[in-house]
Amino acid sequence: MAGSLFPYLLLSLILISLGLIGILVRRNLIIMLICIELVLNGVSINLLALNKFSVNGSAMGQILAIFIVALAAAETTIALGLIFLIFRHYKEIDAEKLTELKG
Amino acid sequence: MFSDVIFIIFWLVIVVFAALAVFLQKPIYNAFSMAISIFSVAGMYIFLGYEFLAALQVLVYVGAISVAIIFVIMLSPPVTVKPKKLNPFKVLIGIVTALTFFGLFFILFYQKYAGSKFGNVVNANINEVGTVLATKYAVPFEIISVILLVAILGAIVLAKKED
Repeated sequence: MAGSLFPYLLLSLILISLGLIGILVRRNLIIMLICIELVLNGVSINLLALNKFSVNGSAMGQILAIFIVALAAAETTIALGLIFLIFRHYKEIDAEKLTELKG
Repeated sequence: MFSDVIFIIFWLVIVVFAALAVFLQKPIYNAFSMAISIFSVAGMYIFLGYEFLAALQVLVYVGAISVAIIFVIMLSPPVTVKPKKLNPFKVLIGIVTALTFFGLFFILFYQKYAGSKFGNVVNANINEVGTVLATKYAVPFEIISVILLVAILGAIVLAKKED
């Protein structure tokens, strides 16, 4: 089981789909951020499993996964700063209520 | 056999806590569920043989990102929100979109990779990764570090109280 490829691909697919549902359905900005983290983790698992399966001994998958981790850290920092600002300004983090930029 | 049992336990923990992280109602529970799910993803990396990435996952995701999210939740003043009615049409659209995505890729992966096994692969060790990262991918590496710096400065500027 741990030596075959398909369980890893299925796991990454489930994580990405759950994150997608969360981003589309939930309206709380912090929960949407959490769902983005789930999607990024699914992508990492997919990359690493396929890297191990198809490219023998290549370092490329690990490098991409390191980049994903770094970008996720940067994205979380900015998003949390924005959420904190929005919360202070509107006393509200419901994405439906933040309509000022919608035009 | 024993490692298969451990693998299935990790797999189920990831899926169950990811679902909890999406569907629970209070953000603090979602954040802790996400932390557990991400912690178990590090176990998956161990199964694949990427020990360095597992350590990185625990350090950065569990140690920094989850803690930052929980920190922001705990810093924000309490608000009593009554559970809102979701628009059922939007919920339906979201679930149909995600299920379509899932179905399409499930068929693709199943046809192409069902029953595939890893051969005798020797993963690139951390020495090779570091060498490639510092030579061939030096420019992306530097760009990532600048992005992190800008993110830190941006977060400080955004969260600063205006007088």
